[in-house]
Amino acid sequence: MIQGCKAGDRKAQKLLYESYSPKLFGVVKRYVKSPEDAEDVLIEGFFKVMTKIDLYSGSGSFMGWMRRIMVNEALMFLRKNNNFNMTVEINNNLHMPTKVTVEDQLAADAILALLDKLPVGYRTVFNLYVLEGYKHREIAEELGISINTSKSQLILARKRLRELIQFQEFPGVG
Amino acid sequence: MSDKPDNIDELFRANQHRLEQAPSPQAWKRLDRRLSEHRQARVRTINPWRNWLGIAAGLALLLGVASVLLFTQAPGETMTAEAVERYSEELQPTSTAANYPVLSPERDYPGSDIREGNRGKRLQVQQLQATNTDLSMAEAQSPRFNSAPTEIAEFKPSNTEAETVEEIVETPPNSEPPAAQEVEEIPVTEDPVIVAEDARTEPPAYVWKEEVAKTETANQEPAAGPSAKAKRLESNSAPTAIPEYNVTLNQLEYITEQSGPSIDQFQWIIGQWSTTGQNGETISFEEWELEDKFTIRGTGYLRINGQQSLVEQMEIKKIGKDLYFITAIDGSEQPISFKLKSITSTEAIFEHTISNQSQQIIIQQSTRDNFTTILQNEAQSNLNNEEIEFLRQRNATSEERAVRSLKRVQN
Repeated sequence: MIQGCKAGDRKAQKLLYESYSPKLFGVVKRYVKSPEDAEDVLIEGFFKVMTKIDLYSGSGSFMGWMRRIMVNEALMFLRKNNNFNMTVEINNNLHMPTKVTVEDQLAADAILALLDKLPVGYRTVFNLYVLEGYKHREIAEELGISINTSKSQLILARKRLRELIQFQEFPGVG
Repeated sequence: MSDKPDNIDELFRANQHRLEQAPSPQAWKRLDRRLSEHRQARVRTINPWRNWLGIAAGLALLLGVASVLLFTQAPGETMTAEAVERYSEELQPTSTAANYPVLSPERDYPGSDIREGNRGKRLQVQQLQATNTDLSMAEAQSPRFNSAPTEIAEFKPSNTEAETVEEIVETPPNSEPPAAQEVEEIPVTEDPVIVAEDARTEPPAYVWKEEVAKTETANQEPAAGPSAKAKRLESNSAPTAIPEYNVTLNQLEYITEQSGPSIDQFQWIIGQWSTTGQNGETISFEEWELEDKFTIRGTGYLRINGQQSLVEQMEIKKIGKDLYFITAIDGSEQPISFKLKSITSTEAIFEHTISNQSQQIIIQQSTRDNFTTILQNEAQSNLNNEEIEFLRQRNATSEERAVRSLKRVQN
């Protein structure tokens, strides 16, 4: 499939797209709120994957490579529309919730709803650090913020998520 | 309260796969378009000198083609009177009425034996052979077929390039229906072009949308003084001379075309359809649209917990002389072609046979706003597990057959 894509074979490209688009769309949706924008980002990301596939060295997971491209694409979109230094905590008066039990499962729309409720800066840092495994230094470079901002936004993001989980009374969670 | 970040992190890590969702079907089309544009742009920019070489080569080719055309076109433009006579003779009816083929430009019926002539030349008509045994049986059983008179009309198309529906010969509403084999002539003013057209020919695909909207009008008897538009519509779909042409567009209707069935017979399916659950909530819906003259494309979506996902791409497609229902029936995305086996006013049966095992997709239309698709295996064989699992999502399924009933979504 990858060889076919390198040769520009449209069937292989379609196969690649159909195999990976649901997973990568899931990644993009965590960053970009509106489904329409998320789809634009996904298309742009796939366009880069397919036109730059020669740059994929073959070492490391192909999925990981594509995922990184998607994340970069999502960050580019966010940078265009947001200033990460300006993101502020609006409501910090909510009580801290009790322990979150990891056994609990969150439905897809619940996860998205929770992430969507975070300010863009929190959400992006949380996504990058927790779900993509970036270091604070990398996040700071990517978003053009200081390492300390990245750290504090992660803490605030976790705090807000706990509040939201408790506030929304997810059964058994919080 | 936990100060450890791991809990909340782990909750999201463990559940992130739940966000996986296929993007909309339009997304691939957009990407496909971008990739095509990119490829063209890359070819253009690889070597700037190539542009000039390309232009030079193009000019040389153009010159060559132009000179060839000049030589080959000349005889056609100056067709002798004898030739005109000979071609006209070929258009004369020579056998009994029922044997006359449906005449239509080749582009509407690929694979038929009709050749479309150039301007200044002639359209040659050949006797068509009925190939599909089942369909020809159905023809023989159809009372409409037995009584169908045939009309061949010669007329001159308008000066515009497009062969629009207005070109079909109009018969005044109050005139007597012409006898079978009657040849109608339209005065020719300049450089006559003879086009053979059977008045029973289905209206071209590109007027469907209008006609679907106007179905009621089209099916009514002509009013005393029809407006110009109504009159034109009438000539498209129901010329008074041929009562058998008076087709109810919202029914599955078999029209005795020897070039095989047409996707026109499925135009009623164009639109949005849905299935609803016990509480009236939408479980799945289908959208059918006209893709081109030979294809009606359907997309099935499933809605679970407010999340919409693409489940099935379907096509009703004319390939050669046959009509096919193409779909993947087990969610594997490996399309299977079901060939139209028989069709009546309310039921169409498509069949797919592999090593003596046949599977059928049956489309039944109960009213104009309801239809049911049934997937079943012939005789004793059962549906396999993947098929049952896939179709279970779509609606009622038993071991032998999967049934899905849809209702038209009113706009």
